[in-house]
Amino acid sequence: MKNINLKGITKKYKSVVAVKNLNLEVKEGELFCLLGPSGCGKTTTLRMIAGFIPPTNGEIYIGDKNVTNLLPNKRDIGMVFQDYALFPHLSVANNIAFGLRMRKFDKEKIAEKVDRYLKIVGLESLKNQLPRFLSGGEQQRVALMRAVIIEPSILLCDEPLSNLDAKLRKQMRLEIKRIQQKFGITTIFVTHDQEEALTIADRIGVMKDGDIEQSGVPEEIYNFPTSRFVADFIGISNFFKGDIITESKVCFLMVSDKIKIKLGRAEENIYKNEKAEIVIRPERINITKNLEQPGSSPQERKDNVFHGKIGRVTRLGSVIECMVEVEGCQDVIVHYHETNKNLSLKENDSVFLMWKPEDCRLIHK
Amino acid sequence: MNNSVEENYKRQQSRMAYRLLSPSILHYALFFITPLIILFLYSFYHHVPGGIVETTMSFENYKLFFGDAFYREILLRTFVLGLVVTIATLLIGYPIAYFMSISSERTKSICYVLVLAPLYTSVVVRTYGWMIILGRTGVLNDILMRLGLIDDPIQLMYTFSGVVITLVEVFLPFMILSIHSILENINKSLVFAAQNLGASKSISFLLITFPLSIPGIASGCILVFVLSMASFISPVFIGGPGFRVIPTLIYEKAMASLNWVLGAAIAFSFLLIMIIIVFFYNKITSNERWSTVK
Repeated sequence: MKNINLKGITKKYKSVVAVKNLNLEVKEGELFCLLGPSGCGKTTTLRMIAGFIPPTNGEIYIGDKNVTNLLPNKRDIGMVFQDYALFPHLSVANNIAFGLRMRKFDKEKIAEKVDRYLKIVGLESLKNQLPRFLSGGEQQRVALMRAVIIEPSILLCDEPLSNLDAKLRKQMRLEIKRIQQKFGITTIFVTHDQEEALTIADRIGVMKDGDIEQSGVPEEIYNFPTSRFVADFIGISNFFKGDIITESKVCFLMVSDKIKIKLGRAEENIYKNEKAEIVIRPERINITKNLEQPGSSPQERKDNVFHGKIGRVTRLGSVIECMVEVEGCQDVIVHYHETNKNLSLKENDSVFLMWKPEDCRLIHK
Repeated sequence: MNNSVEENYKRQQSRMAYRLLSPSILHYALFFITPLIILFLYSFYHHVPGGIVETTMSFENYKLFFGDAFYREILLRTFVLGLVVTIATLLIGYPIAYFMSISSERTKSICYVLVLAPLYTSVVVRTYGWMIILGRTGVLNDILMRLGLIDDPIQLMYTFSGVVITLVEVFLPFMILSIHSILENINKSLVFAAQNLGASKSISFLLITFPLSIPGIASGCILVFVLSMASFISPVFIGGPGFRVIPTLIYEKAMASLNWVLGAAIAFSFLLIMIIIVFFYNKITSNERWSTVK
């Protein structure tokens, strides 16, 4: 178990900069998710750590050791590939044993260890099969075991779940987390699926244009996005743009003449910018047909109450999404749970929206 | 008549396919299968010196071919020629194909042009070229003597080696393309995975890339082997009149000795041997372990 330290790594391809002066520390035993859209440089970063491509600039440390110029086969890193990269001509057992063979373990020890690891993922019976006769989920497990059996100090996962169907993906991500915790391997997990990252990561780093835009624990990333990009990429967001005004130490965002959003107390110089943008998550917004309904406190009924008309209702499983047309600003997306029996909203219903001032997050560019 | 919709659909599809295929089937039947049947019948007829054919059926032509040590030696030489040419093209072609597979797109396309270029020229023209190169006062001997590597010109024209050199050049593109197409399709992350698990570059080549390229080697080898055994132009031009392989023997029997029936018997014996070789070769190399590359 070792930590990983990336010090200002940069990767340039002729005119394209894939990774830009990236600094990152992943702590021992941590599962760190690199999350970002395709082309943001997350896979390139992973490949540089693995040693498949050299960085143009910067240094990579594993533990105290500078591995920047080390060959990939000398780095003691396990890797799970997006397409699993199982050796098609070798049986499941020989695939898993490959790393141990390279490390010149003796035959009996390899056989014993392979059996033990196959048992962990319940694939003992498929031991002598060729990979192509296995299902996607089984191949995934073999790939994972092949990477962890060498007991590497670092595990790298390159979008390992993107080739699986939705249900299996959910199951496998918990399995990966379980195995990662069982062995306590420091892991970097690359994904473009925000839900995946939020579920399994100890910490998330959101990448954009070759650099980490924001990193933190999942709650922090979800609830306190620091940029529009992060707020937009993770979850669904309502953005409001406007001018900041302060009235008796309380800040407001003037979106238009009709829409004035209360932001809470003006602390120090947080709201000193004239122009600003805030984000509100759809589930933080209360929706009701009637303001006198129970469930909304008198205080709530005073701040940030806006009238609107429902434009569209969509069911997302147990959550229902409403697009509400509000005069004076853009459409607002609201989520509510279907167990909220008092509400049975349909198009063109007249509704009130309200939210707490502290649920508004001011974002910097 | 209770055909399902699916069966009906399939029947219509196959009827359509036959209709589309009919011109080529007709062409093949008329100009390939029919002459072949006539030739097959001829191989059982009786030869009377002077180019006359008697239509009495017997196995005498086959007996003559397989029973005569002279013919058996020619058959063996043809076989050895095929084998040597195949091994040589493999040894030269594999590194080229491998180099192409790890090159950048630009280098790769240049290599493609270079590999394919000879195929745009007639084999006859290229063989004349080789005559100029391989002759006693040819380019090759000239260079070797100037370099001081040899004192006297080496005899390459009218020798087995000369024919091999020419055939290797002629069939090299087939070997390179067969192997390259397989190497190109090997998932690049397999090599990464092997290195990640601790294999050096050479070990990962030996344990991963090479075994996975065996289907390419197999198809390249059988192609070159069959083509070089059946080659006619190079043995005639480079090997000369004294160099006999089965194709030149058939020509000699049919056109020079006017012994059509023996020529036909040799041709069919040769065809049968080739079919048997290809059949068993496919049996051996179609082992499922090597059958997919992904």
